[in-house]
Amino acid sequence: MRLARAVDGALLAIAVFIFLFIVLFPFYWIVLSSFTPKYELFTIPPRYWFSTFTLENYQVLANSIPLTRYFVNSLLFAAGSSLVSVAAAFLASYALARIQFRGANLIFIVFVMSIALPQIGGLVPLFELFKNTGLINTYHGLVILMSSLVLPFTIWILVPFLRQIPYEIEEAAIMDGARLPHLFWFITLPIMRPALVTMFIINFIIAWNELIYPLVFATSGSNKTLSVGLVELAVQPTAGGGRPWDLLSAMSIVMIVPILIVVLLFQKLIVSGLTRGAIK
Amino acid sequence: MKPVLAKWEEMTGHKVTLESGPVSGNEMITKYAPAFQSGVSPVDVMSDADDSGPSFYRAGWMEPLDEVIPQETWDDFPESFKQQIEVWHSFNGKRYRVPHEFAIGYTFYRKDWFDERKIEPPKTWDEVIAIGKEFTNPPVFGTMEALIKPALAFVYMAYLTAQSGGNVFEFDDATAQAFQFAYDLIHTHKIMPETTLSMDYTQQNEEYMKDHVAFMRQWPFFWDVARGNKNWYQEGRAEITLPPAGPAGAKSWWGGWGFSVPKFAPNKAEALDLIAFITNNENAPILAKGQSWFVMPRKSIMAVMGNEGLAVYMQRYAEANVPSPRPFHPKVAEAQSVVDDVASLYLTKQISLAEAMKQGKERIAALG
Repeated sequence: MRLARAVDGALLAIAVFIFLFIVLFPFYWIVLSSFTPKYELFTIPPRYWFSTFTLENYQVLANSIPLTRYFVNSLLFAAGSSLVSVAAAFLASYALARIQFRGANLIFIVFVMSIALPQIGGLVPLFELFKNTGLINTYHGLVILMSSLVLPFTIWILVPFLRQIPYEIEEAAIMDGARLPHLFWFITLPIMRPALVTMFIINFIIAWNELIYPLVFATSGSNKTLSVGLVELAVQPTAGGGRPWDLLSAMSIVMIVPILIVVLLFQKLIVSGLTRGAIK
Repeated sequence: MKPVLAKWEEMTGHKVTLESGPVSGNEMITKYAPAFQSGVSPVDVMSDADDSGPSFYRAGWMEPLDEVIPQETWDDFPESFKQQIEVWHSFNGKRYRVPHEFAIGYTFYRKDWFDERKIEPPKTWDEVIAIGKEFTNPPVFGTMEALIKPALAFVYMAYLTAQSGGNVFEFDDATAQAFQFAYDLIHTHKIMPETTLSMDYTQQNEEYMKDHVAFMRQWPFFWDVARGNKNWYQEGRAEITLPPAGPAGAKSWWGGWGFSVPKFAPNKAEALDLIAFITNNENAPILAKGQSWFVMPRKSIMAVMGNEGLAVYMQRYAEANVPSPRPFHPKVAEAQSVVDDVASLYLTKQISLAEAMKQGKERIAALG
């Protein structure tokens, strides 16, 4: 019995190790590459530890694209669209989960189905629409666009979450004279906080990594994001290959670190948001 | 570009703003197609790639340049460019793009090794094999070519097919000859390692700079890569010679980027004036002096830079009539993938040569 338990434990440990290795090794490799001189990136046999440590890749990257501006743009774009999408999804989810009206289920299904629409298929009509409304190349245009992309998914997650909150809590507040804004602010929002924060973070990550919308709709440098900068990194003649892997690695770190910080900061809320629905 | 743009700004009183864009043709299409389809353009003049340019003017989104670019500008390009310009820069008899970049596969070789053995670099396919064998002693190989998918197997097969006199998209007899030659280099004569099938250009260059390769085809960027590697580079280690001749001669296909004007350019009249100005015979050499990306074997540029660096070999290649047009297909990205797939299957011994040609023909035909 004890032996069987030990074997189980060992197998689990091996499985966890393999899983962690698969997940973390590419990240480690990117970190390593970002601090390695370009001519040492592809040595054979490969080097698995820093042979020469350099910050040159980051310096060249900062000189190749307007890094700070792209970073700020990414931040505004990701934070703005996450905020708008979560706020709008909260209101829509509340209506779909709490208010009995004809077609509620149909609307919910349409939202869910719209997740499956290929993003690229909507580019031309969206461009036409945004052109006619003067939203091309504006921050708010990009935020609206991105919010519309993540909104259905957010609603899809929030509706079941809301449905499992006992309505009696809200009824009690109504009996005590709470009006809808008070109900939202003092009752529903605090209960839903973990789910809303989780969705904010998930949407932030999706928006942070989004390429197509900023590529197409941010036509001038003043609105471009880091992901667009990634595809604009020209093949440097001295980069040592067909792709500037030194700069791409440094850029990847610049893009990964903020996400890592956000996830670490809100780790507890995310876990509680993700697991809340599992426990009745 | 700035000195030339400043001149134009001074002449016309207009202000030019430079905007960076994607570095691959596919992303160019993703970025600009929705705008063009909606009848607007975020830019007045654009520099676009072979992978995107033809799609744009075939869709009717670009402005013909025949009345804007004077004949003397076109005459400034070498004779060997004519066919490429007609195929890749034109549509329905009208020209839409003025080439400003010349990317051709050069043959780099270890002149120091060849001098030591008192031999000349290979001039024919037979010599490639004979000389390759002489140098091959693993980990050193006679030659090497990165062939990893996507795209790189296509690059090499198109290069060899240009030398055998065929069109790689037709999977004709000359294509079969080129495929067979590549196979023989790897499997029969073993002067190219099997590992090249999973290599990219970075790894190929690394192998060369680790003194493991005697000669190889590579894009122009290797000139700077080799010379930029201060720890390794010495004169004679990465010299350029003409490509070896196959049955159809010493050929190497070229491609590159060019300037064009979208039909929906917000300032079209000024854009047309600007494109004529920056590509004229007076300003092309100034652009080339300022940035290596604009160096091409145009007569005006060679008159100024013909004795400098890579331009020497550019001129030599042009004079020897080496540049061969990039293989064209209306669905170029898909057609390149077909060549990539079939070549990879054949070179990894998964299908026979006959099967490779059959599959290639069928899949190209299926593209329509």
